Amino acid sequence: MMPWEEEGSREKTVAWRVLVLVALTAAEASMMPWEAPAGAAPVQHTTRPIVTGTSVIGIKYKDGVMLAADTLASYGTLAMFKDVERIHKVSDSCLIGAGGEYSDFQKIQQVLDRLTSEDRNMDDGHQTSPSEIFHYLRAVMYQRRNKMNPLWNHVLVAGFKEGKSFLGSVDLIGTAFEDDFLATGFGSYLAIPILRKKWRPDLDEGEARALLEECLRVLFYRDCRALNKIRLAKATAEGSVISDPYTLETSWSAASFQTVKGGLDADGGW
Amino acid sequence: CDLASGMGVSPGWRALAWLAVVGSCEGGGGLLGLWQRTPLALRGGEAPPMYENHGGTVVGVAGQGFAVLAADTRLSKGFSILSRNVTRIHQLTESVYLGISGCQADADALKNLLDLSIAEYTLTQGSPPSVSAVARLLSTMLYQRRQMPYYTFCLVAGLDADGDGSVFSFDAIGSFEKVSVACVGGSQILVLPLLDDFNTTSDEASEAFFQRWERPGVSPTRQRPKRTVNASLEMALSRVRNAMEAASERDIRLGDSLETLVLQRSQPPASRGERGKDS
Repeated sequence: MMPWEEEGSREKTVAWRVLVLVALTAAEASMMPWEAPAGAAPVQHTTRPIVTGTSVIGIKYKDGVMLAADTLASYGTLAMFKDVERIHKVSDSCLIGAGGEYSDFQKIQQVLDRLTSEDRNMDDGHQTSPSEIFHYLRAVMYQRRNKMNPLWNHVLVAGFKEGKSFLGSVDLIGTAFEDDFLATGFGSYLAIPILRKKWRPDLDEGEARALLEECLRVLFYRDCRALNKIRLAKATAEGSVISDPYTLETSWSAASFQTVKGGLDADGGW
Repeated sequence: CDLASGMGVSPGWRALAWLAVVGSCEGGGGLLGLWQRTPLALRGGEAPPMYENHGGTVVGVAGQGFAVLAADTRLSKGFSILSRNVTRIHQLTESVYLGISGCQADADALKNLLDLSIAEYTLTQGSPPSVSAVARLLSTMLYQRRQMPYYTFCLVAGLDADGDGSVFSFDAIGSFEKVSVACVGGSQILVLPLLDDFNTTSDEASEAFFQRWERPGVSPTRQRPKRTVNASLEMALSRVRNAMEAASERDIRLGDSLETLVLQRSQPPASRGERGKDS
């Protein structure tokens, strides 16, 4: 009697079917394009991001540069992974943070770690600077876009080396520029206006942290794919460090959250 | 399972039949093959957006003994401003400068490639390339990417061997022309008409058309257009500044600062003031 024919064997049926599915897909996936028989399906390119992170915000301040991002990786509308690291320490002088496809971000981490491990192996006292990492990453992203197979991320590169702060942005097609404060994704709509109003070059660490938390709080209120659990990271003369995750206090007592505005009998505003 | 029993066939056999059909499909069986053969539109996927226009407008004026290259510093994406402070003017050699607008990713890549080619030329030839040589090189480079163009609108400006200004204007795939006044980029359509009266004086509007040409009074079709303007450096600078300010009132993608570069015979290159930032 086959597993799917036994009475009360629903779990076994499902397991068996899953096994068959996996075996079939694995058999195809393990083939290289040149090994596939003639007429086989073509090599696939990224068409859309699947598991995604939302905004990352970066600001320069008195002692260096700070990055902030929440710890959520969404699967479409599902808040699937609620404790991921979207900020990565590349070296003692450089941090990167990214939104977009999380697996592509992990690939970017691998690619940049190869750069810094070369520094370690050479052991000649030279460390690749944040600016060099930024320009290298731009070239990588641009190359992938030329092959119509982008790494679907918007990355912020932050660093501090030899007394100079660095903050730059690279997106999935290789658009690269630097500035005193930057944000990706929804942050460019919600956080940048706040930063344009409140940023100063001489913010101290407490003020910088408060400013970033304010931006992330607003993003949690209004970005459907954001979370109030965040990590902060800073790159200063003492090196680069990423904080443990912590939860932001939020208040839902504001009148615009309490009073229903939508609907036929209301004004339809939000 | 309810559905299956309703159809009168046991679930196991149906699954096997389905797999057999899928597996017998040409071009590789299995579910991955089936998924791959589903048209992109049905899968909810779309071609990744490989081009973006980040705006920017570049203006160039070639004069007798000078050249002016000016560009705005706003980087925009749709209705957002990515940066108010990007530079679109890049130095290629001591006397040749490049202004690029359009897709920033392509602009950076193009500039890097040009730098490399010009470095190689300078090393092998023993001297840097002239403005016209750089223009020809850029045109070739742009056309080589005809199948996936650099989405860039370029302007090459510099001083020729006599110290007079030379300005070349390009399109995205390498068409180029030596002109006395040029404008490329997002606001070209607004700015260029304002620069059209460059070769005229206010009293001689009716002769303006003929003043553009080398031999006044002779039909334009029988001669080449002038390649340098009949104006002083200060006149050129004020005209460029006014044109860009006027256009910024009407084009949302033009604004912030105006970066201006002045090249003059026997003088180091200088930047001449920045227009105040606007919103």
